[in-house]
Order: sequence, then structure tokens, then C-alpha cells
Amino acid sequence: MKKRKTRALRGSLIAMLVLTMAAMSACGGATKSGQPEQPDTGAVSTPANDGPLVKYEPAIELSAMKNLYGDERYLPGDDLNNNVWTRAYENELGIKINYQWAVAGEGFQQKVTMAVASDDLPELMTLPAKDYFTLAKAGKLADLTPYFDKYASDTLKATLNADGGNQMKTAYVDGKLYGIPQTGGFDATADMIWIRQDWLEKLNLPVPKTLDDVVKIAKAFRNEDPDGNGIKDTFGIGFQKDLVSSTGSFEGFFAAYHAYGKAWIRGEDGVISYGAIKPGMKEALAKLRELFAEDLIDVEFGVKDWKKVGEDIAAGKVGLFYGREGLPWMSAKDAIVNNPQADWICVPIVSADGQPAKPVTTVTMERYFAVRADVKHPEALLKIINLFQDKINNPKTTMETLNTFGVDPKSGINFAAYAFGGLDPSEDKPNKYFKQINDVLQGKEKVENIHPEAIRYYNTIKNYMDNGMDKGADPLGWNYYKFLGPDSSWKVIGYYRDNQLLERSAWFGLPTATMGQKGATLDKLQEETFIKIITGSAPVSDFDAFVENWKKLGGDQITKEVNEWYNATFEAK
Amino acid sequence: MRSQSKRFKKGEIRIAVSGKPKRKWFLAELPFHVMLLPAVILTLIFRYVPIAGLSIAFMDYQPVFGLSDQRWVGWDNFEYVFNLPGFFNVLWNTLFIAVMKIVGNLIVPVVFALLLNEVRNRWFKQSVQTMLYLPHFLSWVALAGVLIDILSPSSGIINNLLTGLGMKPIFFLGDPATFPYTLVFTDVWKEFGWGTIIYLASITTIDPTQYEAAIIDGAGRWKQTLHVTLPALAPVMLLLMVLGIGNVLQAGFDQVYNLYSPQVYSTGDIIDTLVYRIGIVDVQFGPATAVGFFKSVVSFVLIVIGYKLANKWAGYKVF
Amino acid sequence: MENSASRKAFVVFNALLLSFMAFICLLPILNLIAVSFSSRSVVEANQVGLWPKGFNTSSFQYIFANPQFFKSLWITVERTFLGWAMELVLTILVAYPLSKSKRVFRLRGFYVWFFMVTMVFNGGLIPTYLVVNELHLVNSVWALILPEAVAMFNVLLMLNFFRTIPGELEEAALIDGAGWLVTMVRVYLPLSLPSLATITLFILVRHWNSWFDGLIFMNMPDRYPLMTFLQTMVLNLDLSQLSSTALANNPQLLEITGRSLRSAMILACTLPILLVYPFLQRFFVKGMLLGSVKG
Repeated sequence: MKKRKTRALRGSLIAMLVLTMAAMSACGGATKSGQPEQPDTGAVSTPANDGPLVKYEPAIELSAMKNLYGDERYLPGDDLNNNVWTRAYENELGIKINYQWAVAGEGFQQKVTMAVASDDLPELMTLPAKDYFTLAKAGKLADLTPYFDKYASDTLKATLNADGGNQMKTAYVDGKLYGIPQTGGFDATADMIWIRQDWLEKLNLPVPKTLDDVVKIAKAFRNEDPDGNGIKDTFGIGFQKDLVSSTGSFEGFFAAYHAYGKAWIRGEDGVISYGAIKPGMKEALAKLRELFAEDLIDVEFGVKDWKKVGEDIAAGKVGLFYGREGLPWMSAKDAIVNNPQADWICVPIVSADGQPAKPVTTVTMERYFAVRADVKHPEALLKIINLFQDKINNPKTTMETLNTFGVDPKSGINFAAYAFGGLDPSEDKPNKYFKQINDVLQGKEKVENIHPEAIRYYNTIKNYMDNGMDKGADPLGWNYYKFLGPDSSWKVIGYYRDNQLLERSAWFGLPTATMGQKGATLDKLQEETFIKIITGSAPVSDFDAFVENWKKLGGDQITKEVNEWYNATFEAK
Repeated sequence: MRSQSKRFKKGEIRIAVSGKPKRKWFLAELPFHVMLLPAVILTLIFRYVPIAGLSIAFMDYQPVFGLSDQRWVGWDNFEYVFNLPGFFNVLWNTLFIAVMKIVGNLIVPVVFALLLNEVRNRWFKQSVQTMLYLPHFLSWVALAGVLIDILSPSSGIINNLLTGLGMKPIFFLGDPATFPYTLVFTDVWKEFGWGTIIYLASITTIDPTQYEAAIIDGAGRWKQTLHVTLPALAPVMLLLMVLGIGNVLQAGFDQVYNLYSPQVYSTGDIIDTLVYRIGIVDVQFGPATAVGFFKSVVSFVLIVIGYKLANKWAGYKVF
Repeated sequence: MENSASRKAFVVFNALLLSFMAFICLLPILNLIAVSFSSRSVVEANQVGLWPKGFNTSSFQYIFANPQFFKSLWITVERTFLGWAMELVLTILVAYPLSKSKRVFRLRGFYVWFFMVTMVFNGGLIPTYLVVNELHLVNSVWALILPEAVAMFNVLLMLNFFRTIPGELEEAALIDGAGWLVTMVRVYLPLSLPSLATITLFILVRHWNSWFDGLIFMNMPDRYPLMTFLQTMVLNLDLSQLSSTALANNPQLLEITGRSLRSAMILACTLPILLVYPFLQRFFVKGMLLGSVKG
């Protein structure tokens, strides 16, 4: 390699410098790979009855890195390397964690790249998906396959299985397990319709059951002055520029026509295809074009993002839009604070024809927790993750444990954020809590029997229901009430679940090869075409040309790769 | 300006001539080398050694392997980027926006520096100066929200004014025809106050006797500006112009990224935003470096040409 | 002549135009101030213009209650001061020899282009990081200072300023037997206060506003300079990506993603550097050369 390089650039200053760099990085690598021998913990005895939460005697030390939220706060005297979780790892597991570096936001990917490039990886790692796979293939990660069954606790296994184990399956590289995925929740990404109940009542409109109802409501909201201020300043239906969004999304609207803006749908024949080139999409766009021409959509939606449409919602200019379950924490709440008369309901999305509309759900596989290949006790990672499961997600956990290791009732600090590899059974948790809380509300269950975390939510919700927002209840009472109360967003998700209406995106892995190369071009083509059709600057028939172009410019190849990925990940095993 | 530079040359010639045989020139210049040494060392270590990393542009770079173990791919990364569908449209957008910005950011600050120079009241002058440079400190993320409101075709102040005058509202951020100009205007607005600082500082270096001489010659304020102030600013303007043409591929990522939308991709998508959306900034290091390398080469060539032209036409070495 | 009608008309027009432009430039800052003192929900509804609604100081209390703000402020002050001192000295040391003509300094051309290359070509993040890492500067304040310590743009400005200083002065000093360095310090620098003030402003502002290097070269958030702290804490968190479950356990995220707090943060982090220019303006006084040339 070196020879080729020298020949290619011989004589030039550049060549000299390249060699300097290469030499530097080479010797850097050498020193580093020698390093891990130093804190050798070879004398550690592995007890015969070693298991998920058995302590190391003597204690072992592991370096680590951490991805932060950005606003970490600590109790006086604590910091990232000394808090309730690091102490628990040391006292209960005999593992001393030393965070080498920690970073929030977009810096995370950069820092990981720097650590990889300088071969300066900590022993415990949180890795972006792409780096997880490259490091695993380069042999830099420890193989956890032999340890998983023995060391993963039952609670951890249950947590990883909450989605049917789909996300866990993505962690296998050539049949071997090198890390634990940070699982996310599919269900929480389902669109629903958010409507101002007070406006419906005022204009004598029923809750929508079909897309025609939605259009009728949109017309009334635009033209019949629902806020009663005498000015035509309300929009029919709130959209923004991105096809998929938490607020003002198109995805729920497309689903009325059984098409999807950005999702990959697995048909009954087992073949996966792109949701945006389905025939229903053409009708959906034509309908949106109609709504736009009738002035029911903000003419500026194409330049506004979710925050901007959120401002319109908070200002009481939008009373109908497609959004996710998190709205009670965002603009919907602000609308209520600004105008106490405002009242929101959320209802399942509706269909344009007789067939039920199915909202699409997806996750992004962003992070994997892994161990460096040369670590003596790779199973330590599993033990560390187990401890979190044991304290937080274990059905038998106590309120006291939760207060100590989760949200501190006094300071409001969420200690769980300091755990390494904190995983939630995202699918089950809110679904289960919704059921538990409403069973208690209906008198079918006793409070003390439900999960302590659910008890906390229940108390807030009950307090809100009894006292209302302005009578001394928690200022966030309404948020919890709309999140898990009797008429909450998770009630809608429960309805979707019970009726098998959730359409899980079949693809949620790392971008495939062609996606990485052509994806942005195809996205641009799609977004431009769609917005032009909706705003009327291109004919609806352009959709057909778009489908052709999309396929030609790499869409067909991507479809093939997505199917291959799916089969390799889920079918082979 | 020409007369000025001539004058210095004369002085310097005299110094040089004032005495030494050729061999001693090196000794005479030694202090200069010593003065430059610390900067040269730092530049070598922190700038030149990393510049060797531009070789990544010719690699299929995977950070997980050391720099010496990469696969060389020749011009593949460049081909990949240039062959992206719509790349030349994007290149054109970049040039168009960048050139207009360069011109605007060259002229407007000079004009305002001259206008400020005419203000007699020191308090007023300094307050205005300070206010003009405030927008420079706001990020485009913070400004985007405000701009969307101000430029809104339905409720924005500017369009309210236009419709008040009986004109049609303009969708500044959503109409592909106006979007590039919106970018240029907002960018010039944000930066011109900051840009005046250099000129205001240059004005202070003007020898007052030149004004006195002009007044004796019967020159009014306008003539003084034309014949004394402006020529004195010319070297700095020339310098900024030469450096400016090196920026023809810098259309301003932060600004465009925060203001554009699919509606205006046709005229507003620039190289940097395209590259960003492809995701090559974060993970595809080879192509990302290739883009940077390409932009640097273009920039360097243009600066060299500008430098030579300035030397040829104005007889002035800008640096 | 100074009092002609057209002159008066110009003066009035000029004052009006400048006032108008100043106002336009002031607007976003006024909006920022108003938003930072307003209550959350009104702000989220975009109903705050140039005057606070629901006046409160909770955003600022939140910021100042975080000890990290002051730690970061200190690091920023440290890097800005050290960086300024180092960069100013280097700028002068480079600009002075390069301001000489080729006859006086024959290798001038080589040096100019040696530095010009670094102005345009940049090795990129990874190679720079590898160098800094190899020198064991990661997590040190010097990692924020050394890589950019020779800023060619400032050198070029300074070089051009130096050239405007009459050569006769230098000649006189040299004839008196002073060396180049002494001439530079005794003759050039005292005459260059406005340009040194300009360069100072540029250096201070750049150091104050840099955030990306802090993100890359510092390992723990408690070592972040102020602008890195601002960037990671408030600007990058996308609330829409979080589910109710995450928010229910971290309700403070609602606060920190709110525009009130964001605006307050931007103000608190930017205000100190905004005050530098009015202070430096005292050096931008016309006619400073007068006395020295005549004397």
C-alpha cells in the first residue's frame, strides 16, 4: 500500500506529508492497541454461578462514552462519573465505569468518527448504526453471541422482545451478535387526527369518520370563523413542508388512500414496495391539490416546518391536523394555555373509501451498545444493561427504587438518563400503562397493584380530572391526561392495536448501498413533484412520470435491496 | 492609490540601496525570517500536515482503518459527485447566488462606510455603527423564523406594504424566481454592518493633510470623498475583491439550509445543501473531501488570477 | 460650501437613511429580547413582537441557575484572551515582513503564498483532529487556539494597513540605527491603533463565536466554551423526535426547547461580545497619524 502511494505522489511535498500522517496514525494505532493491556483485570475470578447481576470480585474498570441529552443536571457533588448509577454499577456489579467523553446532539456522530479514526475507542460504546456495522465487520467489537443467553436477564429479554424482537434482529452481523440495539417505539409514530373539540361543537359538526367528513370540517374551520373573532384567519387543515412530521404530517392523510409518503410496505405477497409510488398516492395528491385550490391549506405550508405550523396551532389558527401522540406536550398544550376555551380531541385517521385506513409506524435504528473486542469481560455490558432493567422496568420494582434511579421527585432530575444502555420496552410501556391507569379509573383495579411509574402518572391524571388545570393541579396535568387518560392519544393507539390497523414500515435499517448514493436525489424528486402537484404548479399527471423516473433513477434497485435486507434479517433465522 | 504605492516603493528602494553588497542581503533579511518562524511552524503543523488529508478525496476512506490502509480509488469520488443528477443545476445555483452575494457584500459596506463617514455627530455615528453590525451575530437558525414571518405573503410586514401600494404580494421564500434574490438581500442585510468596520478603520488611516490639500483646491465634500476617501479605500476594496472571487462556490450553507424548501429546490439548492442531504458530510468522507477539494482548487485558481489581474491593471500587489 | 442647501438636504437624508437601516438591524435583537422575557405559550404561538408579553425572567433564572453557564463563560474568556494575545502577536509578526516590498525582502513572495494556501485549502476535520490528538492537546484550551492561530485574512488586512504608513518614518528610524523589530514596535505599532483594534475585534469575535472546535476537541461538556454549550444545549434538540414517554420523564426538555429560553440563551451568550465593539470604537478616531507625521 505504502509503496503504491509513494510512487504515485513521488517527489511532491504532499507525498511527504501523507507519509507523515500515515506514520502518525500507524504509530497511534500501535500504542493504542497496546494500551488495553495496562488495566489488566486478569485476576478476576468468574464464579461458577455467574449470572445476569452477579458482582465482580475484585471490581473491574471499564472506560466508556456517552450520548447526552444536552441539559443534564446533577445533584450537588455528583457528575457524570459519579452519580447514582455509576455508584450502583460499582457497588452492586463491581464495575467501575469511567466516561472518557460525553457529548450531546449532532456532535455525537462527529466524536464517534474521531474516536474511530484515531483508534481511540473506549471499552463500552454507544455507536451510531453505521459505525456499529463497520466496527463489527472490522473485528473491533466483542462477539456477544455466547454470552447473551446466559447473561441477559429475563427483564432485558422481555424489553428487547416488546416489538416482537424485530429491532433486536437488526443487531446481528453475519449471524453474530455484537451489540444491543437501543430500541425505539413503533407505535408512537402512528398519525392520528387532532381536532379542536370546542370548534366542532360551536359549528355543530360531528367527529370525522371518513375523509369526506374531514374535508367538510376543514371547510367549516376555514370559512365559518370557528374562533369567532370576525376575521378569516383560521386554516382548514394544518400541513407543513415535510411529508413526515410529528405535527401537520401528510402521512396520515396519504393513509386514507392506502399510500405512504416515506414508508416501505410489505404486501400480503411478502414483497416490499415503496409507499409513495402506490396508485392511491395519485388520488391523495389530487385531493390535496383540490383542498389547496379551495384555500383550505395555508398557502405558505411549503416553507413552514413543524415548529412554524406549531405556532399556528398554538395561536389558535389551526384546529385540525394530522399529528402524533406527543402533541399534548407541544403546540396543542400551548393552544390551551393561550386560550382556556380550547379543547383538543384525537381520533383515529379516516379512510377515503370503505377500506380501513392504516397509519404507518416506523423506528430509526440509531444506536447500538457494544464492547471493544479486547475486553476481558464482554458480558459486563449485559450486566450493566440488566441493572437498568432490574431497577426501572422490572414489574416488581418499587416506588422507592424508581424515585432513586428514575425521576427524583424532589429535584425533578431524571437519573435514568445517566445509566449506560438504558432501554425501554417502548412498545409495551405506554400501552400497558394506559390500560392499568384506566382500569384503576374505572375501578377495575387497585392503584397499588399497578406499576409504580404508572401510579405516578395516575396520580397526576386523577388530580387533573378532579381539580382541573387552574385549581392547583400540576401544570403538566393536562399533558399526562391527554397522554394516558381516558381520552388520550394512547387510547387511539390502543384502538389501532386492537383492530390490527398499524402498518409497520418493513424497512427501518441502515440505508442500503443505493439508498446512500441515490436516496437524496430520489427524495428531492419526490418532494418537488409532490409540492408542485399540491400547489397546482404541475398537473396531477406528473405523478406518473415521477413514478417512472423514481424507478429508473435507482428506486427499483433500492426496492430490491430493501427486500434483500428484510429477507436476510427476518426470514433467514 | 497608484501614487501611494509608488511613494512607498521609492522609500524602500532607498533603504535597500542605502548600502549592502548582495551577500549580506540574507543577513539583512534574517530578522524577517525570525519574525515569521513561529507562524511558519504552527502553520506547518496545524495546517499543512492536515492538508495531506486531502488525499482522502482519492480514497474510499473508512475511518476504522488507518490512513495508510485505505483503498485508493482515483477520481471516483469526483465522478460520483459530478454525476449526481442535477449537479450542474445546483452548481449554477451556487454560482449565481454566490456571485450576487460577493458583489452586494463588496459594494454595500463601502457605501455605508462613506455615509457613516459623513456623519458629524460622534454619538449618533457610533450608535448607528453598533446597531448595523448586530445582525452579524445572529445565527441563521435564529433568524429563519423571524424572516419567514416578515417575508410572509399573507401576513408579513413587507408584503403588507406592497399590497398597501397596490402591488401583488410576493412569496419571497416560496417562489423559485425570487428566492435567490431573497437570499442575497437577507445576506447583505445581515453582513453589511460588519463589513463596514474594515472600511471605517481604513478611513481613519487617511492622512488629514490630504483633505486639507483638497479643500485648498476647492473640493467640496463630494469631491473629497471621490478623490481622497475612495482612493484611500481602494487597496482594501481590491483585497476584498480578490479574496471575494475565491468565494464563487460559497453560497452560504447555513442560510440556504434554514430558508429553503422543496418548493425552491430548482433555484435554491446549492452544492453544500445537496451534499448535506446525501449525507456525505457525516459518513461518506471520500466524496465529501472531494467536494471540498474541488471548491478549494477553484477558489485558489480564481484568487491567483484575481491577484495577477489586480497587479496588472492596478499595478498593486494586494498581498 | 458646507452649508449649501444640497449639503443640508444630504445630511438630513443621510441621517434618516442610517436611522432607518439601524432600526431594521435592531429589530431582530429587539424581538429576541422581547421573546426571552415573555411567557412560553405566548411565544410558541408567535405572538410576541417587539415588546414582551406575560413578562417574566424565568428563562434567565433557568440559565443562571446552571453552574455550567459560568464554567463555560470562563473557558470562553480564557480561550478568547489567550487566543487574542497569541493571534495578535503572530498577525503582526507575519504582516510586518510581508508588508515589505520584494526588494527589501526577497523571499516575501514565497511566504505570502505559503500562507495563502492555508487560507483556501483545509485538510478537513479528521486529519486536523488526528494532529491535535497526536500532540495530546485534546481537552486542552490550546486545541481551541493553536490550529487557527495564524489567520491569513487578518494578516492580509494588517499588511495593507502597514503599507499605508509613510515609508519616511521607517527610514528615519532605520537610519538612526534601529533594527527591523524595533522599528516595527516603535514606529509601526503606535501608528496602527485603529487597525490593531479592527484585528482585535475580528479575533475576539471569532474566538467568542466558535463552537464546533469546542465540540470536537473537548471531551466533557463541563469543558465546553460558551457557544458550544449554547449549541449543544438548546439549538440541536428536536422535540418532535421525542415521544410522550421521553417527555413525561424529562419535562424540562419542554422548557429548554422553548423559544423563550433559546432566545435568552442566545442573548446571554452573545451580549458580552456585542459590548466589545462600542468599547473599541474609541480607537477608530480619524487623524491619529497627524501628529507623528508632522513631528
